[in-house]
Parts: sequence; C-alpha cells; structure tokens
Amino acid sequence: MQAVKEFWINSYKSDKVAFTFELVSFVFTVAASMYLAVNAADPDMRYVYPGFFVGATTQMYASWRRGAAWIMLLTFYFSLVNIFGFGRALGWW
Amino acid sequence: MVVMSNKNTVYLWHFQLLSLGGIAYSFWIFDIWTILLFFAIGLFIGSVAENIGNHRYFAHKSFKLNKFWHVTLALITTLNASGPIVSWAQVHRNHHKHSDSEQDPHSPKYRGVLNVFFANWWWYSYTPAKNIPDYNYDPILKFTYDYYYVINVGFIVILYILNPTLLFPLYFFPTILGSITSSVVNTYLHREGKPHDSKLLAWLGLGDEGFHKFHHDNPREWKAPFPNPNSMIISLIRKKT
Repeated sequence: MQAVKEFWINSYKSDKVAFTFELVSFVFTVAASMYLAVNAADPDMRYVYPGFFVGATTQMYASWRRGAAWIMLLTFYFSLVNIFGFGRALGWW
Repeated sequence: MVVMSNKNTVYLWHFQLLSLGGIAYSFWIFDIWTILLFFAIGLFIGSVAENIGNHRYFAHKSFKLNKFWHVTLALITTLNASGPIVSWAQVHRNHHKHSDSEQDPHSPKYRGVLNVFFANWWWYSYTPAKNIPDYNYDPILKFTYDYYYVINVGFIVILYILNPTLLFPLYFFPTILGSITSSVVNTYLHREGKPHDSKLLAWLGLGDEGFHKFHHDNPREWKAPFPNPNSMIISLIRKKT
C-alpha cells in the first residue's frame, strides 16, 4: 500500500502541471466513455467527441512535459481523429 | 479528504472557462429559441445562487431557512462555481465593512473596473477558511468548502453521462450569468466610489440587487422596494418564526 501511495506522490511531485493535466484528461475521458457506455444504443456523438478531444489534448500536453513520446503520439492521433469525428457528427464533411 | 486547502486565493477560472466553452458550443448545436430558453433558466438559477444564496442568506443572514432549504441552497450556490460559500461571504462582509475605501476587496475605484469585473470569473482573495466562523460551526458549509471541486466536477460528470443537454441550462448558463450579475453590481453599481440604485438593471434581471444603495443602507433587509422574483422566492422559502 505504501508503494502505491508513493507512486502517486512521486507522479505528482515529479511534475505538478503534468499531473493536473492528466487529472483533467482522466475526468473528461472517463465521463465521455461512461456517456458512450450508458447511451450505447443511440449515443449523440456531438457530446462524445468534445469529451474525448479535451481528454486527448490535455494528456498530449502532459505526455510532452513528461517526455513520454509514444503516449504523446497516440494522444496526438486521438486529438486529430476526434476533430475529424466531430466534424462528421456535425455534418461539416 | 480535503480538496480545498487553506490558501488565501481561490481560483474560479476552471469552471468559468468550461462554462464559456459550453455556451459558445450551444450556438453551434441549438437554435436561437432554445438558447434564449437556456438564457432565461440560467439567469433565474444564477440569480437564486448568487443573490439569494451567496448574498442574502449566507453572507448577510437576512432570513432563516429550515434544514432542507439550507442544504438545497448551499448545493445550488456551490454549483454556481463562484467559489466556496464561506469565502464569498467573508469577502462580501469585508466589502460592507470597508465599502468603497482602499480596504474594500472589490472597489472599482481603488482596484480598477476590469480587475473587479473579472475577479468574479478568475480568482479572489480571502482569509484562510479556519478563520471564517461559518466554516467552523456549520457542517454543511464546511462540506461545501472542503469538497468544492468534487461537488462541481461530480455534478458536471453526472449530468454529462445522463443527459448532456441539461448541462447548458443547469450549469453553463447559470455559472456565467450569475457571475455577470455580481460583476455588474460590483462595478457599475459602485461607480464613482459609492453605491447606486438602478431601476433599469433591476428590470433587466438584477431584481433586488439593482437597488444597491438601498442594500448598503439596509444590509440585512431582503425585501427590496421593488417587486422582484428574488424577494418573492425568499418570502416563500424562509422560515417564518
């Protein structure tokens, strides 16, 4: 238990700004995925993509600060694909 | 778990920025009539939270409520995201104590109009919560202080999961409109270094708050000299003892 606690404390202390962005990312991504799960039969994608987009971009910034290259690349892709999906949901393209 | 620490600055911009984004987004996905409906509901809820909750009840203790309305109003007020109730009350009591002087925490004359206008949106200062009496004797207010962020984030997430459309009239619009009413009172109704009354602003949505000079002359009087929804709501919910 002490090791788990220290893991979280180290995560916070090593970069407080990144930790905060990761927290925001966590909240938005969990909320969007829960909305998607609860409304799986007929989800309104105009509300899903903005949640995932904010979750992805905040994590992308946090990954850049922490120097986590692959996570940064993955969340950069998520950000782009969420913009694309959002445009599709709103009928822009 | 203490989420708010006893620092002397509270930052408000998180929820205000989210709400501004939500309002901007509403112009993309709703028609103008729906937005006007959200505006009316938002102004009503924001006014209840900011004017009846934060101002008349928690800061001035102008009237008494039973336990149910006390808890309900504490939650509605906390969800208006204008900072923890005890901090708001403490800042406002200092405002009355040092009104329009250099010690006034939001005097537009001494602190600048823009600074005061946006203080309701971004940040404000207050003494540590442990020094505010309400924090120590009212467990509901202590709870809304300690869990200020958890309550707001929890409400947003629950509404988002259940029905995101409800976020607009129940959170985004009330948060911004409630802040704007306070900003207008703190700046325009305190212009030239003294409080003013404004029937026009009272009609435009400030209600009893439009009579600000009257309020400074009678801080604990909740009945404004003007028929308005806030006074009517207070007369309905207050404990008549």
